[in-house]
Amino acid sequence: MPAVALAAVFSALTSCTQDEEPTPTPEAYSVTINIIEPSEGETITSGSTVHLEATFENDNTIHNIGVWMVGEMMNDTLYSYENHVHADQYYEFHEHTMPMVMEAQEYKVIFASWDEDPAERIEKHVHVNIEP
Amino acid sequence: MKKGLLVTAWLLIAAMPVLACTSCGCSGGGTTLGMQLVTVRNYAGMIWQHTGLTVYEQGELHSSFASDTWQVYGSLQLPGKWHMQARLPLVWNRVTDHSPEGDQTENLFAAGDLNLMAGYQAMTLRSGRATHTLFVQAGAELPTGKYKADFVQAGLPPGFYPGSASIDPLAGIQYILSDSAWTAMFGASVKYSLPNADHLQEGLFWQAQTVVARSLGASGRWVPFAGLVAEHRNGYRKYDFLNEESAYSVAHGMAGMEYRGDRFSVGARFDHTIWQQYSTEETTNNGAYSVYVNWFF
Repeated sequence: MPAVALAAVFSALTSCTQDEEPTPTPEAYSVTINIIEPSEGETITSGSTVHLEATFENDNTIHNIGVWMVGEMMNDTLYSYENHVHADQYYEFHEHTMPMVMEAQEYKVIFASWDEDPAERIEKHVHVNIEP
Repeated sequence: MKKGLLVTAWLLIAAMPVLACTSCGCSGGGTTLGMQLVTVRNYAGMIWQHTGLTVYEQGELHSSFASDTWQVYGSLQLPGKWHMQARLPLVWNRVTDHSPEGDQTENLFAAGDLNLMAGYQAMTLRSGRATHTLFVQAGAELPTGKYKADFVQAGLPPGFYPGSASIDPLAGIQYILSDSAWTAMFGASVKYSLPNADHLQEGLFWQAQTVVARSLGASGRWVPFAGLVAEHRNGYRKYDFLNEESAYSVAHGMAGMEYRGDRFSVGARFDHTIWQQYSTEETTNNGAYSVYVNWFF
């Protein structure tokens, strides 16, 4: 019986020493994307200038950003941009493009940001209609 | 002596800065420097100024910015060669987005940042009929003006809100050469904005101008004047992000006329853009025009 008690005490002591602070898991990458232009449902004439403008904000570092303009029917890409910006908490994206189309189509304009794996990107999008 | 003092006051009042604009907007009255207040006597005044900017894309009207600024200002002579000045702008800013669906205009009527400056008459040198005078100034713009941190997210141009929400140190110099009816002035000033609580920092701003004036007739009450103004602003920063598109440089030729009474002066001035550099070549600075009145006491 004393041996059992001693074992219990030993077990309690060793379990205490093993009860260390859990290893912190890395915080999930987060970013707030605010699309300024284009606006949802905007109609654009082929060959005219389109403003692609958005802000990216978080509490740490904004690593990668990407912007694409992809056709909803044909899956064609009219605009593509990727860059490791490594910005401190804030980044503005503002570029102009002149998309050219032969047929009217709805396009998804995607603004995205990710830490290391593009598959885990955070994105926001709007749809625009581009007409010949 | 009295006439000389009036000419000095006039010249500095006439040298009002223009309110130039960025590629997507304009600086408000609260974000420019005033060199009009350096004088050796007490006065108060007000000025109305209109400025504008138009942005084209592929030759078509894209957006426009208009700004009307009313500024009240005053200057007090202090003991010795010191003086103190204050200036408070009220702005009415309009930015219009021109699109096939119709124009969309955003309006703002608000106060700008209070400008306080201390000045010192560092040199007065007489050589024959000519008098050389040098002023140095230092001060700050205080965060009294309307400010919103999310102007970018709202699609508004930098400068639409006239306040910077930060204390912005200022410094300037002015050299004045007066010779009988003729007076010439060269001035330069700089503003370094500190980051505000939102980590937004306006770009460094500097301005230089030279003006020549002549009093007409025996009474010397009518004073035509002309000159050049150049100014530059760096792009704003937020954290370590630099918005290079908001930087600009512009040069104006200006001309005007003033009438001087015994205790007051009134004048008008027109600024025409002679050179500009914005982030897009299709941006046009529309110049400025202004009307002012001053009381001397």
